Formats: sequence, structure tokens, C-alpha cells
Amino acid sequence: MRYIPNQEILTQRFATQRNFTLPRLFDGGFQGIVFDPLNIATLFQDSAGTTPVTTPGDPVARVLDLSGNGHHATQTTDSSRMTYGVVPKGGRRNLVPNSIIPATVGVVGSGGTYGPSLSLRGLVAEVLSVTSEVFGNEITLKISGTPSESGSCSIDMHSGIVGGSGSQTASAFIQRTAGSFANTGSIQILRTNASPQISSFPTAQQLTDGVRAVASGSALGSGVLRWSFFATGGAVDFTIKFSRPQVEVGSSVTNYQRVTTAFDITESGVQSCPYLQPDGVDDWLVTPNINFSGTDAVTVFGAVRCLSDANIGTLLELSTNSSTTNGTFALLDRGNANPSVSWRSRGNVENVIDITRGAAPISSVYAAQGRISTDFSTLRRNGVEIGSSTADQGAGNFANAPLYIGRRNGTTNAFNGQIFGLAVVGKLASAEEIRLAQRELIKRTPQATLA
Amino acid sequence: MSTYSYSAVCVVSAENLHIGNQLAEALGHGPNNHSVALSPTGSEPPTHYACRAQVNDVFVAMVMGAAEGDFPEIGGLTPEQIAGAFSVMQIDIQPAGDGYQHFIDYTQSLGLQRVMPEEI
Repeated sequence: MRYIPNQEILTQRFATQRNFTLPRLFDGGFQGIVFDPLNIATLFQDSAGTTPVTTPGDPVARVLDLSGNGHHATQTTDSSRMTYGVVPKGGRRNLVPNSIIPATVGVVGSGGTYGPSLSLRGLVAEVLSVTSEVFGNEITLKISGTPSESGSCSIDMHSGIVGGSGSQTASAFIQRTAGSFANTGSIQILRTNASPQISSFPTAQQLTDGVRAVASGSALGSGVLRWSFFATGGAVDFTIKFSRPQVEVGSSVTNYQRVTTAFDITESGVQSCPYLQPDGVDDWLVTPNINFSGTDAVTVFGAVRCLSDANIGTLLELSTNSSTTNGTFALLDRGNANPSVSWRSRGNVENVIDITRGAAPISSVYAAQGRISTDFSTLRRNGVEIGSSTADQGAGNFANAPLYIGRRNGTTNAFNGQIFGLAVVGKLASAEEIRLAQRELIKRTPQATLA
Repeated sequence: MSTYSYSAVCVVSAENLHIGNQLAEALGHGPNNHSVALSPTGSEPPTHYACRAQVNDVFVAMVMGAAEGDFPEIGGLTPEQIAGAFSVMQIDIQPAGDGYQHFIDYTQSLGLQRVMPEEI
């Protein structure tokens, strides 16, 4: 038998896939919302929508609804604004809190600082230049002099490595551009509260042009990481370029990630995934009333990365409390002793699906559906149905109520995570629509893949 | 880089909640900023309320100034009211990072826990 593809069907399908965007879920006119951080033009720092979000780290007080319904989400309280950020599709690996070397030029004398600091012991160091590269700043540093004893010149950076215990690896790009490494005893990565060293780089003589210097150790998290050049045995005079410091879990060195801030992490050649981050304390958004009273069906899509299991977090919820309000639904990320995701669909009886998930941090693209009249409820994660229920949902349609995002009623159960996209549509989306929407969302969600 | 490069946690006692919120609103930060209920045991009733936010240099300078007795001028409030409002606030500012952990660390240092519903 010979397989002959139906070109017409294939062409139509590919065309559908190419043209699909989340707002297409609303073709024909349905209630709901689409919130998409990938479209930065939809984000504003103030609830009135006058100051656009432009930079990772900016607060978000208004998110425009892309469904065509005009249900824009807002936050009028400054301390409850989410934060806009970007992270590479593969997730964060560089654990330094800031890998950008300060652009300070000049001689650094004893007791001087090179921010964070450059310390000297018997040597003279001069930052000859700082160039701004796509990966961040690169300093050209000249080290000279004759140490009275064993001297060192150090570049101190990165107090407070983000997270982590166990094996970690530190690295930086160090390139000798002039002079000689003669009389340099070693080049090491240290941490200031543990002596004497984590590990040496290759010996100085081995550090030829363009070598990425690497040292491994355990639990680098505490103390200041110090890239240090030790000089012994006489005069030294050499110039190096230094850039791209990185600390990561494990013993392997991976491609450099630029960490400008905790909310601005990028990697050359890797797609950046924009997100909204509620802090798990008091951040949330709310829409005006969304009139779902004409339907008893709903489909919810959520692309998220849960960062902590310490909370029971509200990803989204129709009304102030879906547990007590008829005609509501909710998608909850239930950290605590048994991390799970919870989908609730309710006419005048609540139908609850609770499914255990892996421990945070964990990325998920959820697709949940509920229909009150047929007691239909299902929950998918990363393309796989992980739960369903035919338990009674009672009667009636969904409510005309606000949609809370990130916090129940704006008062409790704050979600601690990153939101890469949300869509809620007042219908049962078709299997093809679900497939396409999940595919669309998975592309913008780091460390998530469709099963 | 965003100008919102700091994380601030503000704590006020329950009896002074209205003062804390009034000050924040007068400064243009909107209503009900201190919305996280706290108590020493994590149980009702709340003894304190708090908030956490990304803040910018302007906010940090204002707080640092207030700590030195240099209070901002705020329309509708007398200098005495402003000084009194700052005196009931406990504010901790750190470089932006894990805001959740900042909040937990600071409130725990004050002997406080969040009052949360046991289950939803």
C-alpha cells in the first residue's frame, strides 16, 4: 500500500497552523480574554494606560485584552503590580544576580573600588576601557607592579548567587591582550567567606587568548565571588580583557547568559520568553465584569512557571471566590505539602479536579474545560489530559463577574510564578483549537514541552 | 535597565493600618497598599499588615530622607501628620531579586507570619 497525502487537507491544516493566534479562539464572537506578555504594546505601568512598559523590571498595572472584548486587566494599587520580565526559552542557568560589569574606567588604587569592587594587594590596577558588547560590558584591565609579598588583584562580583546547593561551576572569559603572565602564581575563583579557594583556573601560562576560564566547586551561593589574579616572585605587567561571568549548577559550562537583573535574562541565539510575574505576596490584576451569563461552557488556557510551593496560589478565578459563588471557575496552583493543580467548574455545585504535579519550579501549559449542563470537566497539562470529572456541577450558566488573576479577590492566595500567556473563552474549544492554542503557548513558555 | 531596581517591604501595625494606607495613597501609590495580613502565629486576628513592591530610586531616596528626618511634602497632610505616618512604618529595601523571599525574610525578622486561609 502506498501512502498518498491529501494535499488539499494538508494545505488547509498547515494554513490553519500558520495563521492561528489566540484571538482566533473568539472567531464568531465569544466572551473572554487573551493576555499576552509577548505583545509588549499591551502592557502599561499605570492603570490608566498612559505609561507603557518598555523594559524588563517595569511594573505592570494594565494589560490589554486581545480577544476583542475589551476586558483589559488593571491594578490601581502600586504595591500590587506584577513585574514584566524576560527569560530564555531554555530557562535561567546563570545564577549570578548581575553579570554586567560596571562601566567604570580609571586607576584603582589601594582601598579603591571597582564596583562592585576591585581589590589590590601590592599591585596597581587600571581599568583601561570598558566596551559595551551584546553580552554586556567587557573591561580591559592592566595589572602591574611588584608585590612585596604574594599580591593579588581581584575582581569582586556577585554577592548572593541565586539559589542552589551542591555542585556548581563558575566561569568567565579572560583574554590576555598585552604583557606576560610571568610571575603570576595562579588565577582563581574564590569566595570571600571560605578560604583559600574554590578552584584554580588553568595556570596562568595556559590562559592564552580567548580561553574561557572555569572553576568548579560546591554551593557557591554564599559570599562574594572573586576572580583573582595572584602574583608571586617579582614584577608583573599584563593586560587582560574580562567579561561574561557565569555561575551555574553542575560541573559543565554552558553558553553564557546575560543577567542584567533578575527580570532581564537573555541568551544569544535563544528565544526570549516575556512574562508577567506576580510576587506571591500581594500582586494581582482584575478585569471588569465579563459577561459569561450566556453560556455554561468555558475553556481556559494558562502558560505559567510556578516558582514556589509555599503558597496555595490563584492563577485565575472568576468572581471573588469560586468556592462560594455560583457560576464560576478557577485554576489554582496549590503548593504546600502536596503540590497540585486544581481546576474548578461550578454551576451551583462545585466540581473539583485536583491533580498532583511535580515540585516547583515547574513550567506548565494548562488547558481546562468545563460545561455545567453536562457535568463535563477536564484538565490538560502540556498537551496531556491529566484529569477529568463528571461530578455534578449543578445548573445554570457562568456568571457576569470580574476575573481575578494572581490573587483570590485581590486579598489572599497569591500566586508566585511567571505568566507567559492566558486565554479564557466562553465556549468548549474544539480539539483542534486546543491543540493549536497549546502549541502556541508552549512556544513562549520556558522549560516546557508538549508531551 | 528598569528604574525599578529595588524591592521594598513595608509593615504597619493593624491599629495604624489606615495611617500607612493614607500615606501611600497620598504619595500617589493608590489605595489599600498594605493588604497582607500578618500575626506572630499566622493565625487570626492580624496584628500587622504589609506590602511588597518593586520600587525606584525616587522611592528609595524618599525613604532614606525620611529616616534622616527629611520628610517629603505631601498635599493634604501637615508636616506633623507626615512625620507621624513615617514613624509607624517599618520599611526594608533590598536590591530587586526574589521579592517573595525578601518579604518572608523581613517579616520573619519581625516575628511575623502571613495569616492565610488553611485551604481553598
